[in-house]
Amino acid sequence: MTEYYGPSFNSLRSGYTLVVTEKPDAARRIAAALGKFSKLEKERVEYYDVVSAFDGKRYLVCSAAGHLYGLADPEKNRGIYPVLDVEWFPLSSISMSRKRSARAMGKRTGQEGFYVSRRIHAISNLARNANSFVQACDYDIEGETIGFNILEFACGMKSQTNVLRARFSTLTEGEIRSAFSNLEIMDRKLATAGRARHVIDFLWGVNFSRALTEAVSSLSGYRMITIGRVQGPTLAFVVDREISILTHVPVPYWSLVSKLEKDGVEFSARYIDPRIEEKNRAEEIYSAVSKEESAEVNSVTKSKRFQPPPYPFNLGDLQKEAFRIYKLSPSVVLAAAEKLYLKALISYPRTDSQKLPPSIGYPDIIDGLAKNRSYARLVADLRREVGDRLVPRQGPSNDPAHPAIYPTGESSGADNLDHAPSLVYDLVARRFLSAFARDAIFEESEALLDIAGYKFVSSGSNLISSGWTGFYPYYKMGSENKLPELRESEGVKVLAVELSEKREERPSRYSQGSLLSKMESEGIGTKATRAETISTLFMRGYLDQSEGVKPTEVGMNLVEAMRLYCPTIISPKMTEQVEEEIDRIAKGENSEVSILAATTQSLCDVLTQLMEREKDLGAILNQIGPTSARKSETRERTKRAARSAPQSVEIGNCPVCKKGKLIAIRSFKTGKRFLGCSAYRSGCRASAPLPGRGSIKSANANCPSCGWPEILVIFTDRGRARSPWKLCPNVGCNTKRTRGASNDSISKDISG
Amino acid sequence: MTSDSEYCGYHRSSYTEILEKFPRWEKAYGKISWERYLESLLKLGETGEWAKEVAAHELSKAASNSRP
Repeated sequence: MTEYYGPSFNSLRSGYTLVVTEKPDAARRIAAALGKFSKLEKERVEYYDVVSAFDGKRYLVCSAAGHLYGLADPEKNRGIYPVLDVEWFPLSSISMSRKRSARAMGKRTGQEGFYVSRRIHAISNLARNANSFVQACDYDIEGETIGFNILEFACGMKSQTNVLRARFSTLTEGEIRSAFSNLEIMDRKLATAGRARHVIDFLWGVNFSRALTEAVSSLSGYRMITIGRVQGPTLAFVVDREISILTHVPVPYWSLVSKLEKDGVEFSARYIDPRIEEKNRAEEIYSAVSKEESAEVNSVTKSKRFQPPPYPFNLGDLQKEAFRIYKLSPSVVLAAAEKLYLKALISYPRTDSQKLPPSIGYPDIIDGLAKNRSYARLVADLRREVGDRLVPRQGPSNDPAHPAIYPTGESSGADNLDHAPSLVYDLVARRFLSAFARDAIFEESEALLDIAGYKFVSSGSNLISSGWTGFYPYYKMGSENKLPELRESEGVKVLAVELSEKREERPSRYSQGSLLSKMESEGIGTKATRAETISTLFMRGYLDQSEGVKPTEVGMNLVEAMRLYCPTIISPKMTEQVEEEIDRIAKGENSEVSILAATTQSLCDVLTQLMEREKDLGAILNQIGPTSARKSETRERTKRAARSAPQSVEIGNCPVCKKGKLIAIRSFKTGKRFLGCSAYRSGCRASAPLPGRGSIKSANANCPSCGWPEILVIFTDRGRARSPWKLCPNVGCNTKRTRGASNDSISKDISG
Repeated sequence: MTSDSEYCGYHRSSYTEILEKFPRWEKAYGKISWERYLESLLKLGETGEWAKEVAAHELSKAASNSRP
């Protein structure tokens, strides 16, 4: 049962309350909403000191920058699996490559390592003298996890029994003040569910990544292959669609269309059977009707169709619409929507709800939109149409945490938006207004005609009352076939008859929007993570965006291998079950411990299968292209690829194992370069990232600070080599911490 | 025609599709030879790439079988 604490809650009167928010922009808005604030800094991290204008309490408002803590294997040995123990660590202490890949994926992570540790340190210091705490991160499973971790680890609050929760769906002043006037006792269930999901995803990802990487690397040199719990089934959807395209065998059929005219109006009518499956029959009908000059109208039916407005947006619908209309990818739409939320222009975007409750205050929002010149006319039209009767169309989906996405009606900042946020804002505003508008009304007509004894049908749809389509004009309204006034038994002129041979079309590839729909319908991923999953598959080189979403050869091979040796990894059923269990934790119907135990057991069973078939699995993953009937051609392609691959460059002796050599290698999967040890198969994991551009040579010298072999990076300018850049590749070298150090070792011998 | 064990999994699916759709092509055109059917599949843009590979393979086998 939720308890509410208003201004009379005594323990908040003395000292201050530390408010933890998710992002710096949110912290600033919350501070501004609470009252007059001072912006301060602790260890170069901003926070806000504010005395609340409505209850006189003092709050210090600090922020994270997304997740500040992440999961890691405490053993930190990347070669070993299974990994069954995990711990939460500050992101600053987790490996650089994981953070970079996390940033590249658009995850809500902290920035560079030093930035994260500074932020954690600042929050810890602020927490020391706080009397009480308010968790004010975004109210969803990820926001609860972010806040919970900060309170537990940075603020040292293991039990969190005296932490209050501020719940809001927009960052408007009114809603924030209302949230702080009605603080709730924090409910741990959502955070527990969020942490459980992170643990399951981590265990799944790290173990399968290591298993697959070992399988492929043992045969052909180091190559990283990764797959996640939701990525596997999503990739399998795309691969299955591609297979149905590649194996498609079309079947021919014929269609007959007549062009007719009456009173100067041309219209068309098709033969009553849209698919004539025999050529002889099609030609027989064509032969008969093409000689005719007139057709007789047998019957005419007219009806009115009332098309209600589309449902208010949830996140999935917004992403699909933005892709359909503007070709904005789901991850770009989510990022744009988050920016709009932080500017208090729209409500919280990560919602499943298609409902707009009256409590959001429809009249105030509409009045607010009227002040924006882009919507002033639309609001005037709406008021003329419906007056004070503001009853929006409601959709079937609900979300207990937040309503559907709606514009707040705030005007500040709405005119000065970047491209993607301005498009998304326009969609949200128009969709909101259309929800209150009247149905669009169509006049549907259908006529049955007779030509030489054969039946033809003509149908048309005319928009006779635009209704909501005037506010949200993104659907094709009516049909191109406009029927004239027709009466039974009258004759119309036959202008032409066309016989076309057609074939069954291949299945079409997924778009990012339809792939999102597929994930939703299969119940995999969440509203917050589906877009990120698709982005990750692109980033890892498993998907390609050319003529739709298409799997690469690596993606196809991976799914083929999993299908043979470990189908659980690509099973939507398995991941759907995990989502259901996590939901049950959030509702308090199951415990984190039992679900993690069950997951760990399943994981071990699957990993055992993988280990037993490691060689066969590696062989498949190492193929270039799918298994082919023409195996000799596959071998030839492999040889050509090997000949054209750039030669690896030996840099020097490995300082870690002292046996192998450090070699500059280009990743087959990502195209990025890195240093790896030739003794990888013997267990040496020495590695270092390399610059993405420029040619790499050995400097034939060791770093005076750490002993690693140094490299020369040579850039060219219009075909001429520039002075080489000499550096130590070791990320842990002390020379990296020195700023402005001059490069006094530039080699004059560029060719050396 | 050929034994489908000559093909890998995906090409075997294509081969099965080709076999299953042949009666519908015969119905559509009244009468069409196996070779003519395969030639048509090779020309059509709607035919999948793996189906085309199998069609080409079957056609070359049919051609070599018919040589004296």
